[in-house]
Amino acid sequence: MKYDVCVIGSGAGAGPVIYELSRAGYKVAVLEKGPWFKTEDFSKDEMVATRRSVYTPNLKDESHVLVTKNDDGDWMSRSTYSSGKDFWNGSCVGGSSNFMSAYFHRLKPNDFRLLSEFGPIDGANIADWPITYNEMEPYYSKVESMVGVSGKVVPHSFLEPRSTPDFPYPALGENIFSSWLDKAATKLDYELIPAPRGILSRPKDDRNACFYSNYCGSYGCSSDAKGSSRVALINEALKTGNCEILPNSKVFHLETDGNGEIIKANYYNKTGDKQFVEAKLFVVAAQAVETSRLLLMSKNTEFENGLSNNSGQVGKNIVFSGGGIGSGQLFFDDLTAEDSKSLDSKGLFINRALQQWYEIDDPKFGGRSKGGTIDFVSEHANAVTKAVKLKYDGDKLLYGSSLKDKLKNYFKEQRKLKFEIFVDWLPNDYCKVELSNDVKDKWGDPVAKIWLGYHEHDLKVGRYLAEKAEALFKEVGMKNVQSSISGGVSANLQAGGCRFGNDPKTSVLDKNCKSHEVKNLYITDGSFMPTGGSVTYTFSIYANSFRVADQILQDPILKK
Amino acid sequence: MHENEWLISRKLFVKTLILSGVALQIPWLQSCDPEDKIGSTEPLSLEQFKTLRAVQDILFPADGNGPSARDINATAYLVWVLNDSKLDPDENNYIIEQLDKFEVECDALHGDTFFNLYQENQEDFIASISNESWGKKWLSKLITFIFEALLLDPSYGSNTNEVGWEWLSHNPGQPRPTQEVLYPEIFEKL
Repeated sequence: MKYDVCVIGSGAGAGPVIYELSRAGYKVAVLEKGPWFKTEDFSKDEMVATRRSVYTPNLKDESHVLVTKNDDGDWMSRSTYSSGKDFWNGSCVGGSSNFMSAYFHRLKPNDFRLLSEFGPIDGANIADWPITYNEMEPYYSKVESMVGVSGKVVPHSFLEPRSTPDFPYPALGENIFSSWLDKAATKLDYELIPAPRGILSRPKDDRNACFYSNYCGSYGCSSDAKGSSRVALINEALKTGNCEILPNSKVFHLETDGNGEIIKANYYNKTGDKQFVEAKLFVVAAQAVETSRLLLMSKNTEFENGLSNNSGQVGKNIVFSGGGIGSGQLFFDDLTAEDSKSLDSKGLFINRALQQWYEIDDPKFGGRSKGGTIDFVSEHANAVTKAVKLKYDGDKLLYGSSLKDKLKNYFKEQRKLKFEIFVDWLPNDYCKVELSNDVKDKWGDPVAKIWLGYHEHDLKVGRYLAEKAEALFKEVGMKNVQSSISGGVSANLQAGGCRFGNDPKTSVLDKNCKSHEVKNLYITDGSFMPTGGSVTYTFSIYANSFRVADQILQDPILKK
Repeated sequence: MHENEWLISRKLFVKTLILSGVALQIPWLQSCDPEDKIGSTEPLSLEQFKTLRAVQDILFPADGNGPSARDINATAYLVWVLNDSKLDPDENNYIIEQLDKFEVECDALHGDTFFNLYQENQEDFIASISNESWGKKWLSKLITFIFEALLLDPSYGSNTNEVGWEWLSHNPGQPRPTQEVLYPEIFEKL
């Protein structure tokens, strides 16, 4: 059978395309490398969610090679199988959107024109987007209603233009700590805003509202409130009868016909046998790193450097999310019994953010610059994860009664609250994806070799924001307030590698995320982003995928 | 003695708990005399098993502050981990290889096996190796598995009667895992 469309991947970048094309009557095949977990398969079992490789591949079967700079300034590469630093995040139907925390901030208009607005920075490959915020805005609104975004819009210095006055779902329930933050923010003249979430606060179609399980990020949702691609879009697409999901199908090569068109997606099935899918049009949304890897692996005589890579741009300018984290503690002994009980109530959200310094205009900083976002969050409820962090006192390993005392005190006498800082990860020559020359996956294919170079400017912005967040925590009266800003990478926040742009020499995709070189290839995950903005990516990936889906529906290839 | 008698496979263990009820498992576990009850300790020898249990007794002791390593069935849990074919075999071999090194070092310092030392000497030896790179890394790994035994769902055969959760006032999320979505059974569904 020849499908109209073959989609590779099923996460946030794939879901809107799957949904729109299936509903338009096109036959859609979805090749997902991971298994198909259903809602009933998800529980709040820390073992399954975070202690073992269940939602992600086993590293002995599939790893990555990470290239980082050591203290001497030398670039060192090491496989994740060797280091244990897992770079996978959600390899299953719906991808990592199943396990996201779902902070859904929109990008701002200036994120689309970072170079024009703020100028070049030495060592950074900054480029404007070929589209404007206004072109994306209708699709942000679409995501808000279709995937489901809850929150409350309030005016603030960097509120982006909106076509709707508010989010379609009211804000989720909040912990008392949110009100303490509000009071402290007022004293400091901070513009603290409610944080929008891609989580339903009331039912929608077949999906239930959030039930405040206290286990959200890293866990699959048991009420379908979280707006994963799987429940919000793919389940709806399946109802059309036009969509076929093929789980455990690892695409390893896209085959072209010699005339610039893909004819087959070759993949391994669950038993390791080679299979293929034929289609008129192919959409790749395998998450940024794996998308670049697939294109690089798909080289042939027509595309000697990899599919759609005659420009040499595939895999270049990968971006993550810059910034860091911070925390402070509140001890129950310092609170009234009533406040302690309220603070300790489980499952309610903090849902506060600061975007007051999304752009910085401060002589102390060194002039006008792009800033970022600060989200305020609870410490995750994962018990083992919390305990493991208590094993050491400096360099000293704790054990015995001293360890048990520390464990008991930490769990029972305080609550840690955190902030997460998101700043632009400036694209640079040392953040990219290549194919490893020596490490293979279980099928014998080269794994992705990921260079994780960051720009010092990212740290400067991060530290500036951390000072603001720390001041707010101190105003609340928190103790042990601290922060850590680094060039470390969150593997689930990845984009770039197949930039979109108007010039085929400097970009892989055109403004509609169609390959400059391959007639029937679109890429709809975060790969298209030349810069990533100062928010998490999922919301924008969803919105862009809806935008591209509208373009695909106009593509004459589908009418053949 | 049949290998399932003490280090019973977890699936059977869980089924046994369900059938026998919570009250029956406590005397069974607490009356467990290792000399009599330990069946197969594969991949550990009986001596290695007893040594690891003695190490865990010091790392997470019965000191009146919450459960001890024995209370949470930590050694049996560790054996289950060591039998998990889905885990990196190098990582599991590391536990056993370092245990051998541990005994060699102990013999060199004290002229006897760790298990045969007086508790005071056992504690001194643990203290000394906790300051050495290899010892610190190995003990740290053992503590991580004790934490898993303490705080993961009791369906995994540890955290007996939720004693770890109760001690730390930890609220597990809902829904709790059913038998078929536990690790590694969940893979069989897919």
